[in-house]
Amino acid sequence: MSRRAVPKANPAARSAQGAPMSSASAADSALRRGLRRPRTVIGLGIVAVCVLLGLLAPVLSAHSPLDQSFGALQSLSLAHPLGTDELGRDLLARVLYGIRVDVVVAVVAIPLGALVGCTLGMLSANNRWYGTLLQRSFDLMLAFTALIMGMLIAALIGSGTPAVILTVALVNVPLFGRITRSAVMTQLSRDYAVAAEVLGVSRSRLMLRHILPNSVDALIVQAALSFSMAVFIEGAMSFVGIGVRPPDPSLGATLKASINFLGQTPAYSIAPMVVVTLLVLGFTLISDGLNQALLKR
Amino acid sequence: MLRYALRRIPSGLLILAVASVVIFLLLRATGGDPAAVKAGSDASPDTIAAIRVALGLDLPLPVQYFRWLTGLFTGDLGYSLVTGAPLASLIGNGLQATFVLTFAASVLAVCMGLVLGIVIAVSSGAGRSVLDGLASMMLAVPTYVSGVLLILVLSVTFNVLPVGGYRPILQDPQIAMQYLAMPALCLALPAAGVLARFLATSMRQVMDEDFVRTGMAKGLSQGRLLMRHVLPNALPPVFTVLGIQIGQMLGGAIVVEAIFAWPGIGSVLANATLARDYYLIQNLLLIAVSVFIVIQIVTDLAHAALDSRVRLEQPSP
Amino acid sequence: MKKLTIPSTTITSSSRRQLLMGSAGALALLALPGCDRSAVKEAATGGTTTGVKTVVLTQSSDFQTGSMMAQNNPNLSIMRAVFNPLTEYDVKTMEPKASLASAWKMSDDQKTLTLDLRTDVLFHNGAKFTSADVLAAIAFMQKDTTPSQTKHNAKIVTAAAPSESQVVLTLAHPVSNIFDWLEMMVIPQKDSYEQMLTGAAFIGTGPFKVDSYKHGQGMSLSANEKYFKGRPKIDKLEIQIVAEASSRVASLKTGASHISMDLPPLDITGLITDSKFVNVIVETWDSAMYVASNVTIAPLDKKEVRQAIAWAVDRDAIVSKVLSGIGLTSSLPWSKSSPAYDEAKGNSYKYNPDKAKQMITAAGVAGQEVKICYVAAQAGFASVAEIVQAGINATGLKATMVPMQPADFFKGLSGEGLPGLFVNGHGFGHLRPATLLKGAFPFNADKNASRYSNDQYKALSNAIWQNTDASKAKALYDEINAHLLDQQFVSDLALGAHTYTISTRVKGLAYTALDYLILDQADLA
Repeated sequence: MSRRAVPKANPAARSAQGAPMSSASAADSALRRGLRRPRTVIGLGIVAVCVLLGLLAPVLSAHSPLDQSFGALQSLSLAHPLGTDELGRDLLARVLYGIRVDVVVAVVAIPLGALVGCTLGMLSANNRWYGTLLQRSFDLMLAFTALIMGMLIAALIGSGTPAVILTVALVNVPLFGRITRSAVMTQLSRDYAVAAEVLGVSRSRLMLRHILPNSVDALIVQAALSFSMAVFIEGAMSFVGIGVRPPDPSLGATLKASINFLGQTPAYSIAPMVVVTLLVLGFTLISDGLNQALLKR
Repeated sequence: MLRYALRRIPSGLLILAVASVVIFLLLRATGGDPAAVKAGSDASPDTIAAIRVALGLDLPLPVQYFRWLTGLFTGDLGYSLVTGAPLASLIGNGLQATFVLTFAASVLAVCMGLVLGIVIAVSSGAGRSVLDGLASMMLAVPTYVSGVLLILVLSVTFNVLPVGGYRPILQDPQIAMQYLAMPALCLALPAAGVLARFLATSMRQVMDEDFVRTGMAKGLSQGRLLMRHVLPNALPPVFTVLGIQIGQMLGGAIVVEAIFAWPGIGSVLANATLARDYYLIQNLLLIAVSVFIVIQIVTDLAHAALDSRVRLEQPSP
Repeated sequence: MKKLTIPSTTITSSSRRQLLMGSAGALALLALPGCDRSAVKEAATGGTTTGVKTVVLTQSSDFQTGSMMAQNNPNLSIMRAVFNPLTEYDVKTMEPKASLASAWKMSDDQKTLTLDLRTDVLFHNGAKFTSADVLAAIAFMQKDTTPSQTKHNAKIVTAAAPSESQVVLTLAHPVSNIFDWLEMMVIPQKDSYEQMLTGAAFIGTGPFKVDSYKHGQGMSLSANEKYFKGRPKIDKLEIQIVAEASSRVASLKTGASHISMDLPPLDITGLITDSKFVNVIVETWDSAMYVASNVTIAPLDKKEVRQAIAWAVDRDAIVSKVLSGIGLTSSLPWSKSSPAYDEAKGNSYKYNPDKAKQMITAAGVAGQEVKICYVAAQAGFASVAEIVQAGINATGLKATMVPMQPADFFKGLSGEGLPGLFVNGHGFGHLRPATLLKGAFPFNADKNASRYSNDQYKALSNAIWQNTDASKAKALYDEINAHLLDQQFVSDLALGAHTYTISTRVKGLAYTALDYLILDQADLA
């Protein structure tokens, strides 16, 4: 009576079948549909607010996040809306500038990782020998959780923001690589691709002009997820002590310092907690919404 | 089944071998002098040189590498370059503590994930959105946030559980569990969220199938249908996710151990990283790689056992 | 195909009930262990409830079993708990008192020291303490692979044991700091060195014996019933290794631990606002912080530049910001108990940014770059480096920070040198001056981290080491002080102290001249 569950065929592939060279429209409509989903909208909203707060940090906070001249552990006041930390620094400034660090890390590291990952993914889809090797390597890198990779990198090049950026980039290589590889391999077996080869279109032209644009949906979903991971990883590395170096502000490091004073000023921990959660949640919602739109097709 | 297992092992061993060389070379390439760290800042250069020889750091690299490998096979992991402690016991103690933590967290994650996943799958409408949101929160909130929150609520506000620390589980189980409760819960939450969502999606896909409809038409009770037919078919892909989640937990344990002062392998690795304790880092990383490979193979085998199509498929091109 | 969802209403109440009961059961299972005993409550009362007095101490790093013959921070808690030396200084008077040696006599030519040993001492494993154990300790200290800051004395000693209870030490030449060496040389049981080096066992004569040692986690000790100074009042000593300062603070607050060694100064000032806690400052003030120059690197090769840097640093800021007030400014490495201590000279370099700027301009090096190296992970030194940087930048020089990993820093320190200035700490400013000059690497005349090589300095150091004439000593100390202040290859900035932050339940805590914890007379209220 019971049958094994049959996984649904990849909807992206199905619609591309028989839709030879024009791929832009297919991707667009999935994205557009994704953007209309309530989940994606909420996620985008949350992220936009947080990022905006970070970008507007110098406007919103009169103080520098490094200035230690105020009294320590002051409670909320007009001059210090979130109070001060144990070294007398304004907490609002530290949180806002901390957001900036996350944005910088994400914006630098993710495209880097994605580029390398996608290239490797495409290479592996094309070549049988490479393919298995890279696939196994991807599996290993994926298993090698981000924090352990971060520790290794910190051991090699020293802790600090570059270590965080490199970790996030490396973590993204197998993620994007895997997706690109499977998407490309699926596309390669489609009629239009076979036809193109028969017609004498070069492999690389085929890849870049037609196959890659068709695979872009899954990549965008992954990108949203990667942003969430970047915030996560930066926080974890700074928390453990191998990330952003003091006295530079970081959400993870601020959270770590707050544990000491949970009894005295719980407010110290709440602001970074909320911001980190919102950022991670926001990106996750975006990727969720887009993913659902893809699957519905 | 056996043939499938055997097929996976050679590639696993190959990766392990390559990883060991990479790890060894990378660490040596970074410079720094562990002999100087061990000797202390006041030691004279002669003492440092003597210690360097005693530690075997002056031997040519290939010799050091083979010494390490042969040591692994004979069970002699060497000694910490910094504290002189036998690595086997340092790593052993750390692994013990991390194992207890990860095991407890896995059990919690599976229980919570199962229950939540099933509930999400069978609900609809507003209820489902709320529960789905709950699962999303669970997996989105980082451990270093939920950990601090748990301490804030359960230790600082309502003084129910101790703030941090460790008691060996075998010595005094009743007390030890109270120290274990918060870190295990903290570690389990993201995994539970992932498992719940995955199970819910998987179950909903299965519930779409014709055979379920037939079952309903035949008059099977909902509960029986759910438990006897939907769930077993929905579980296989969840196993792979479980394997990955347990692997993630081992990494996540580093942060949780830091928050709750749990002296596991995470803190051992962190200290070793700072002091460039080569031998310790080498062994830890190699152990980590092996564990991950084993977890991968085991979960793939479990998946294969449940899904014959995976077993029969040809190796991918 | 029409999608089928099982509407929640069709789920029978029985299956929903099953689910709920299942989850309730799982939760109950979790709650069960906590039922009758509360970990929180037990931690708060810790020890005296069961009639067994257990003192719990927390520290940040694991012991270093390879350097038991040296003064090493992680070992401060166990050295005097497990072992005893032959003689021990009275911390107030700095006079050596009998410990494992009951009496001693120095020959007139100051080259032969005869020690009478106690005959009533047993090691933790029951073996009798004899002169053979002393000989073994000396031989161990003389080994190339044994680090020790008083090795310079061990190496010129020939030891003989005319009987089980007597040891005769023959020195190649007289030394001024023989008792510093004896203070540092603890006496383990002669056959236990292998086990000690790997941490498998520690066999000493001290008030506590080691029951178990879990590497990386901590040590359990219990009272030595047969301790020759009388059984300690405390029954058990637990030493826990807790890396995070916040966890050590929390542990102290909740009563889970009673002593915390070397907490960060900021945490200490927070803790002692609560009258339940007291900070015991080890008043040897031997934790000095300094900034030193690699004198082979321009512009640090000019002593005027080095002096200018000494004028440029705000030492008061270091004491107030970095040490939270638990410190003393100083331009010399000596603390009050040292015979070379000179209050006036110790205050030579007071913060004077204008003078510093003048000197830099006069030396013609304005605008040049200097690097400041430090161990990034050590927050205290990082803060000092920042203060030094601010001071130097105000002089017209350009100071760049070079944060380093410990392994790289120590490699540079002991090997090819660091590329400029470096910030670090040193001890031994409180014992006999020779111990600092010969034992503390920054000041070692033969080879030091500053790569400073100077015949006058070498001659002076050796003279101080070999001088046993009290009347000549003062003049020598004045000379060395003048030399240090003039050359400034090491610029001392502030003297900090080791601290034991304790709950007021702990009474009778004491410490040795080497900052080792003494719990012989301690009690738990």
